[in-house]
Amino acid sequence: MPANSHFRATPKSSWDTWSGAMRRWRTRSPADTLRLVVDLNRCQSYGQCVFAAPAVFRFHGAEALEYDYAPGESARVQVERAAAACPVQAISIGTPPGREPGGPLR
Amino acid sequence: MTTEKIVVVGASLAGLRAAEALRELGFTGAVTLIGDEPHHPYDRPPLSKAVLAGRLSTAHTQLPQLRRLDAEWLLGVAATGLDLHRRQVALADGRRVGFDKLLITTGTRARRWRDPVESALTGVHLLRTREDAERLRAALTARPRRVLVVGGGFTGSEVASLCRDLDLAVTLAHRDGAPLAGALGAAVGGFATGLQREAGVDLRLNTTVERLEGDASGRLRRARLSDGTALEADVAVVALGAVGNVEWLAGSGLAADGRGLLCDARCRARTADGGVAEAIYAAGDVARWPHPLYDGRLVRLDHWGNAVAQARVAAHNMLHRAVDHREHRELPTFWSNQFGVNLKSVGLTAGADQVVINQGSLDARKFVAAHGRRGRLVAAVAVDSPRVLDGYAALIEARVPFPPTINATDGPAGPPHPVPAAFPGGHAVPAGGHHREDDHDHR
Repeated sequence: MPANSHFRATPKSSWDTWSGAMRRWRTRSPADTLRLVVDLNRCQSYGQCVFAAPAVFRFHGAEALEYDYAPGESARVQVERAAAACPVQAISIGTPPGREPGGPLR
Repeated sequence: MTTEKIVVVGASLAGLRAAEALRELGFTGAVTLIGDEPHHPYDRPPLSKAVLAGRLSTAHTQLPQLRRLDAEWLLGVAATGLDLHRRQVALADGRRVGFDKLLITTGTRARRWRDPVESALTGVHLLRTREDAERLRAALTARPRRVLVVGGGFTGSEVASLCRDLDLAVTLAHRDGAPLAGALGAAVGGFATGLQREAGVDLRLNTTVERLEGDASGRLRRARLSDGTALEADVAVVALGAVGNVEWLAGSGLAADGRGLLCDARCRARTADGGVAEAIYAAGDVARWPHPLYDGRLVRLDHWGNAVAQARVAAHNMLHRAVDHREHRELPTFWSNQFGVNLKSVGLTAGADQVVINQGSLDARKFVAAHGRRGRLVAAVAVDSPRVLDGYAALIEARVPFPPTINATDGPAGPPHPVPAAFPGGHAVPAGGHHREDDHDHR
């Protein structure tokens, strides 16, 4: 396998179901550069993210936050609002690893 | 010597965050990330929860890259050897990758069932990778008549919880007297026992699995337990902890064994002859180091937060002279969601000799269990109380006396009544002082 094949923009995925395939098709489009992570040690379940971006964050049970790491470009504004609203600043927004964002190296 | 090329072996959370930190700290040389999995870094905690439940696909667990890296990614190819003298990493495909400095973040893998024939039966699962989670999810979707979970640490308990959410019959066999007890002690373990039984888990304590038996077609059919039971089960999930991915370091001269790669508090790898390896660093699940806040006891932590924090310290030290090195002294923290409760912990519970319910109550399912060792507060475990741990972390770092006085409105009505922490096998820390790895399998 040539080394540069790891830079492919669309990682291989199993096309198991139609809905899953459609969802992946949406989130793997070239404009899909949104990835996020929540530091769940820092998270104190205030739930501001759930209000700001209900399609991305939700509580499963009283205190257990769950979220989509790759919700698609259409969720960007909501996710940025959620990150700004988080009282403990536990939400980090970035890009898919291996696909370089712009900006200076250092 | 100037550093022109840094190689990171292990392309998961610790490796990614270390590479980002190298750039943030001004390193402009070449960075190569090498990973044996074919994927860019993804997050493992959801695998035993939202992914297994079918609420999140594995493709949606990819971690964000938080800054520009300009890194070379070599994925789907394992490192198979390290030549310290030539400063080269050997890869499974025959390539050799040279470096000026090396960071080892190869992590751990799930410990396999001890019998390879039984382990290969259809229906016997591990849970560590995306593929593991997809296979187990498919097996659970097929509605097995009974799931056997082998091991009551965090992964095993989360899987049992998930099976009950899916209304699947589940038996959990655990060698200790309570689930999670190895990590959290008997008090919280007793609470976890109640949660599991109430949720309908067939919990077999002080019980081990002796044999897994298949039919003629190689499918799992039953398990023989040490209590004499022959248990019919279609699916078994082996959750017996993690072992360090260090085989590729055999013969390298580094101090590595199944417990991990020994390093110092500055994240510098130790050599088998007791020295420090020049230019070789380690971070994340694979690293085993003397924790400065715990009197130098050797710890290895399969914790998300530790991977992130240790990666930053390692990156800093890789780019600075020894006099400017930092120690990795972050308090261990982790969390788990199971049986409808959120559980968070700060500090090192293992080795505690006393525990007290310092806030809330077990009956209310909302409490903080403070752990003491030799008269000092060393750890706190919070159930459905996610907002209190920052305060306890500060008290632990200040080494306050145990039991701590915090004057909380939900504190004990009278004087606190600490009880023995009663970790399995007594409160003594195991030889070497490290955590029992099989009970710190939380990712």
